[in-house]
Amino acid sequence: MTITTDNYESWFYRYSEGELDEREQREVEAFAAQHPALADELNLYDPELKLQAAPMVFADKESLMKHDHKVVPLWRWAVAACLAVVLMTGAGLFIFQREDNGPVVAQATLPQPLPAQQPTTVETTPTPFETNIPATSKRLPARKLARASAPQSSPTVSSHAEPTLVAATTNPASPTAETPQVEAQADNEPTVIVYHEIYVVADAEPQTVQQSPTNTDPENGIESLRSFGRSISTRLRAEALRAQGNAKMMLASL
Amino acid sequence: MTQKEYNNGVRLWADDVYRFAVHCCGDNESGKDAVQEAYAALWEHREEVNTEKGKSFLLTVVHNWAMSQHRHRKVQENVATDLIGETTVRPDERFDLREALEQAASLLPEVQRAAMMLKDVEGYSCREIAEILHLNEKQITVYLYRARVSMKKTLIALGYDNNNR
Repeated sequence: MTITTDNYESWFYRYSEGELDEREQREVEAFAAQHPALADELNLYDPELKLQAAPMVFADKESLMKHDHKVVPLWRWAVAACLAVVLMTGAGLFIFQREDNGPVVAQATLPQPLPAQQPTTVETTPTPFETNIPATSKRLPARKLARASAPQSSPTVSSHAEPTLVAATTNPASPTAETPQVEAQADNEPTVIVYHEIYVVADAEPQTVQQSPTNTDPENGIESLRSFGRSISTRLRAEALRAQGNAKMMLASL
Repeated sequence: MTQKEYNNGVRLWADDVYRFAVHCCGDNESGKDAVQEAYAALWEHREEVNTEKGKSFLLTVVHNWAMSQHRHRKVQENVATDLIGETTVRPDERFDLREALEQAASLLPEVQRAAMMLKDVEGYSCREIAEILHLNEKQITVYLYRARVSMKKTLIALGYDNNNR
C-alpha cells in the first residue's frame, strides 16, 4: 500500500512507533519531504507522550457481585400458608367457643347426700357465703334437676333410695331474706338440699357457696350475696372484655 | 462465563473499568453508572462472553454508554472549544505536567481519548482496541496519531514542550 495524503496518518503513526520496516520508513521520509506541512506535524508526534491515569478503586464491588439465593419451591410456601390458616382458625374457634360458653356458669348442683344417721332437718356448717344466700326452695322434677347438676355434684341430704329434690335457686333480687328451707317430704321421700355452686370457668376453680340451714341473720346474708354477685359480675365483664380483645386480635391477624 | 468467573471478574476488573469509565464520562458519578451498566450487561450475556474477553466486553459497554451520554448532552465539543479559548487567552496559567496532560486529554474527542486510555493505561494493542471500540485497526492508528499530535499542540499552548517535560 502506497502512502498518500488520505492515509498518511496511519503511516506516520506506525513510523513513529517503529512498526515499519526499512523500506516503508524510507517511503514515509520521502513523503514527508514532499509535504513540509505534514512533516512539521510528524515532528510534533511524541511517542513518549502518554496518558497518565492514577489507579482508582471502585469501592462498591459487592453491589456488582452475584450470589446464590436459596429458592424455596412454591408448594412449600403453599403448605406453610395452609398450616398457618388452619392453626389460626383453630385458635380463633377456641377463643370464640370460650366466649360463647360464657366465662361464668352459675348453676345449682345436685344435692350431696347426707350421712344416713343425720336427721331430716339439715344442719350445715355456716360459711361466709352460705349464710347470706337467700334461697327459695321449690320442688323440681328429678330429671330436670339431674340435667342441671354438675358432674361433681351429688345428693347432699338423702339416706333414701329415691330422693325428692328440692332445688334452692339464688334470688338476689328477692327482698325477702329467708333461711333456706328444707322441705321435708313424706317418709318415703327424702329431703334434699341443693347447694349453690358458682363456677368461674376462666379460673377453672369452682367457688362453692354452701347454704347453711342454721343461718339466723338474713339481712347480712342478702348484703353478702349482693357483694359477692357484684364481684362476680365485675370478673365476668373483665373476662368478657379480655376474650373479646383476644378475638379481635385473632381476626386482625387473619 | 460462570457465576464464579463473573465474580472474579468483578474483583479483578472493576477498578480498571471504573477508571476507564471516569475518563470516558468525565466524572466519578457517571463512571459508577457506567460500571454498573457494564457489569449488568456482562451478567446478562455471560453465556456468550468468554472469560478472556470479559474485560474487553466491559470496556466496550462503558465506551458505548459514555458515547451515548455525550451524544445526548452534546457537551464534548462545546467544552473543548471553551477550554481551548481559555488556554489561548491565558497562556501564562501554569499547570503541572499531570494536570496539563489531563487538560490536554480532556480536549480530545471521545473516541481518541478512549483509544489513548486503552493504549497507554490499559496496555491494549491496536487490534484489541479496535475490537473494543468496534473499529478497524487502521482507524485506531489514525485516532492515536491525531490524539498525540493534538495533545502535543495543547501542551505547547500551555507552556510545555520537549524541553520542560
